[in-house]
Amino acid sequence: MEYFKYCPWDGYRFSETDVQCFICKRPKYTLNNQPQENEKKWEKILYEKQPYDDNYIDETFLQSVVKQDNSNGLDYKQLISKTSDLIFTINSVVIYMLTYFVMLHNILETNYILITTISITFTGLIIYTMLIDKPLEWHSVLSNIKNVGIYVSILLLFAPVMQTVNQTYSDDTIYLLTSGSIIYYLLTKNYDYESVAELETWKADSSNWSSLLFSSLLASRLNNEIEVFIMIGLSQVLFILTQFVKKQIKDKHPRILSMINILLSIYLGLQLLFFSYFLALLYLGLVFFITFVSPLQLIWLYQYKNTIQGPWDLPDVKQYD
Amino acid sequence: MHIFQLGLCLMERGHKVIIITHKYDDRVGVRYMTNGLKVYYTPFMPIHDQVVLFTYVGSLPLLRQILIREQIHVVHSHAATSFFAGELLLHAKSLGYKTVFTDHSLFAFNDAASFHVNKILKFILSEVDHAISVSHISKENLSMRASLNPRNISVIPNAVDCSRFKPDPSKRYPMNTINIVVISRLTFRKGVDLLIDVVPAICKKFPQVYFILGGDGPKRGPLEDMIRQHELQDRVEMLGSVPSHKVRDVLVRGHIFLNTSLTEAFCIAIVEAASCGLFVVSTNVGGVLEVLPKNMVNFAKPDPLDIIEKLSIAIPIARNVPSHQYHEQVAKMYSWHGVAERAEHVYKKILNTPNPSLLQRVKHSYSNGPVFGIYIIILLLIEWVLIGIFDIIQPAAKINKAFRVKDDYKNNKDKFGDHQFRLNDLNK
Repeated sequence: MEYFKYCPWDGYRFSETDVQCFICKRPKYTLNNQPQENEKKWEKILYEKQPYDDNYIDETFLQSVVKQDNSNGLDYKQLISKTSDLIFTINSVVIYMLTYFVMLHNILETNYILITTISITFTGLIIYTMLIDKPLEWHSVLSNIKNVGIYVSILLLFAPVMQTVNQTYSDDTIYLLTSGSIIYYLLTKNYDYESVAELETWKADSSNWSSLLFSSLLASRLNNEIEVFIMIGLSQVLFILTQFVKKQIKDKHPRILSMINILLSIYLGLQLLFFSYFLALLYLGLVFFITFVSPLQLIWLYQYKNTIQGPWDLPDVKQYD
Repeated sequence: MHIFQLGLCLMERGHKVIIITHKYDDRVGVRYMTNGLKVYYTPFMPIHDQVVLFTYVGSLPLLRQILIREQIHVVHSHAATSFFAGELLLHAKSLGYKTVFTDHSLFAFNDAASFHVNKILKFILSEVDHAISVSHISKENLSMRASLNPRNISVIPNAVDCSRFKPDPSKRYPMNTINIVVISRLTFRKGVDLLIDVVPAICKKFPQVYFILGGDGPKRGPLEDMIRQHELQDRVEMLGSVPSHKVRDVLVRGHIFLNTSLTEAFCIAIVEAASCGLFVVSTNVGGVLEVLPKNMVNFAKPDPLDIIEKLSIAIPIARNVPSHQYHEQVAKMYSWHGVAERAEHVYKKILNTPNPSLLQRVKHSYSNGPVFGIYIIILLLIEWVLIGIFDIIQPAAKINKAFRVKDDYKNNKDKFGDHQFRLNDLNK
C-alpha cells in the first residue's frame, strides 16, 4: 500500500517506521484510487481537464512545504550581545531616576549636576563627530550651534511653567503616572537601532513622547527652575541623543559598548546600594536575568518553533519608498 | 465578479441563487440583478476596507429569516478576510444548512497578521462541509492553515468571460513599438519594486519597447520617480486607475503582458491577458505556474535580472504571437459554465452527508485549542440557545416563503421570447 510522504494536516514528514503523525497523531495517510497504468498521470495544472476528481491528491501533496530545522538552535553568546540594547536603555532610566533623587533631596549641588550634564553631552557629541564618516562642515556646525541655542533658550523660558504645571497633583499620582510611563517607554521603545538611529531619518515615536511625559511629571516635584531645566535636558540627552552615539560605537567598536554596559551596570548597582539594598538587588537581579537567563529560555523555546515555508511566502525584494 | 458570474451560470443550470452582502453607501435592501439574480444588501455597515465588524450573533436574526424565507439548501461563502461571510457560515451550520467555502488567497504562516487570520479561519472552517480552492497551491495552503482534510477541498479554478476579452491586433498603439502592458494595483504584493528595476533596464536594452502601466496605489510615487530619474516619459505611459470595463481596451494595445506579483493564488490578470492575445511574462510565485501552458507564458523568478532575461526572450517573438489562437485556447481552458458544473458537483456531494450533532460540533470546536476552544464552545452554546428562542418567537413555518418565478418563460421561448443574458461559452 502506498502512503503519503507528508501528513496532510500539518506537513510532518513521515519516516519509514512511522505509523502515525508525531504532531497530530492521525494514522499515516494512504493513497486511494491509484491511477491505472494506462491513465494519464495527474499533474498540478489547471488549464487542462484531467480524468480525476477535483479533490484528488497524490504523493506530491505538500511536497512544496519546507519546515525549518530548529535543532541547531541559537548561539548563546550572540543572544547575550543582543540584550545590550535593552540593558543600555534600562541603565539610562536608572541614571535618570538617580539624578532626580539626588536633586530632590539636595544631595549634590545643582551647579555640579549642571556641569556634569553639559560635560556628558559634549563628550557624546565629540565621540559622535569622531566616529561618523562624514567630514566636518563649518556651516552645519554653526547651524547646529544656533539650533541648540534656540532649544536651550526655549527650555529655560518654559522651565518655570514646567515646574508649576503639575504641582497641584499629589505625589502619589505623579509617581504612579511616572511608573506607568517608564514601563510604557521600555515596552514600546524601538530596540532595532539600525533602523532608528540615523539622524537624517529619525522620527519621534510614542516611546519618545512617553519619556518626555515622565520627565515633565517628575520636573514638577523639583525645587527650582534650573533643576527642571537639567531634568528635561537630561531626558532628551539620555533617551533621544544617546542612541545615535551608541549606534556609532556599536558599529565600529562593539566590545567597547559591551564594556560600557558592564561597567555602568556595576556602577549603578553600587550607587543604588547607598539608597536602598532592595532596589540595588532588584536592579542587579533584573540585569542578570535579562543578560544571562532569558537567552537560555529563548534557546529552550526555539526548538518548539514551527516555521512553515512554501511557495506562498513573499520573496525578499529590494523595496522603494 | 466571481460570485456574480458563478451565480448566473448556476441559475442557467436551473438552480435558485441569492447573494447576501453588506450595505454599499446608500444601497440597502433587496435588488434584482441580471436574469433575476436576487441580492440582499443587509444593513450591516462596513467598518474599514469593505469589512463588516464581526459580532457573531448580531447578524443571526436577519440571516435566519433570509435563509428560511428563500428556502436555501447550501450556503457558499467566499474569501478568508470576509468576516461577514465567515459569520454567515457559522450561522448556517447552526441552522442545519450545508456550507461551502471558497478561498481566493494565499497566506503565509510566519508573520503576525497570518497568525491571527489563520486562527480565525481554523475556527470558521472547522465546521464547513466542503472547501474550494482556486489552485493546487491554494489547496495545500488552505489545508495547512485551517487543518482541513484535503479530500474535503476541491480545486476549481477561476474563469474568464472570454467574450469580453477578445484580441484585436489592430488596436495596438503606439504602432512600430513592442508594447508591454502591466495592469495591477501598485502595491508591494504586486511586485512594483521589481518593476522599478526592470523598466529602465528593458528600455535601455530594447529601444523599440514601450511600457503601458495601468493601476494605482501607494507605490505610484516611486514608479513616477523612476520614470523621471531615467527620463522615460516618452517610453512609459502611466494610465492611473483603469475601470474594469476598460481593462480589455488597455490590454489589446499590448504585445506582452508583464506580471511581477510576489504572491498569487491564481492570477486572473494573466488569463485575461492571454485571452486578449498577449504573450505573458510572469513571476513563478504561488499558483501562477498552474494557470497557463508553457507556450503562452515565460516564467521568471521574482528577481529583476531574471525578469529582464525572460522579457528579452519574449520581446523578439512578441509580434508573431498567434493572438486569436491564444483566445480560443483560453476560452476552452476556463469557462464559468465549467466552474458552475464543478461547483454543482460539490453541492450534490455534500447534500447527501449527514449533519453533525451538537456534541460533534462541540468536539470540533475544542480542536481549536484548549483556551480558544472553550471560548468557541461558549459562543456555540449561546447561538444554539438563541436559535431555540427564535424558533419559539418566530417559527420557520410562519415565515413567508419567497415567491419563486416559474421557469415557463424560459422553456417557452417561442411564446415569451428569449430575454436571458448569457455568458458566452465556446464549448457549448
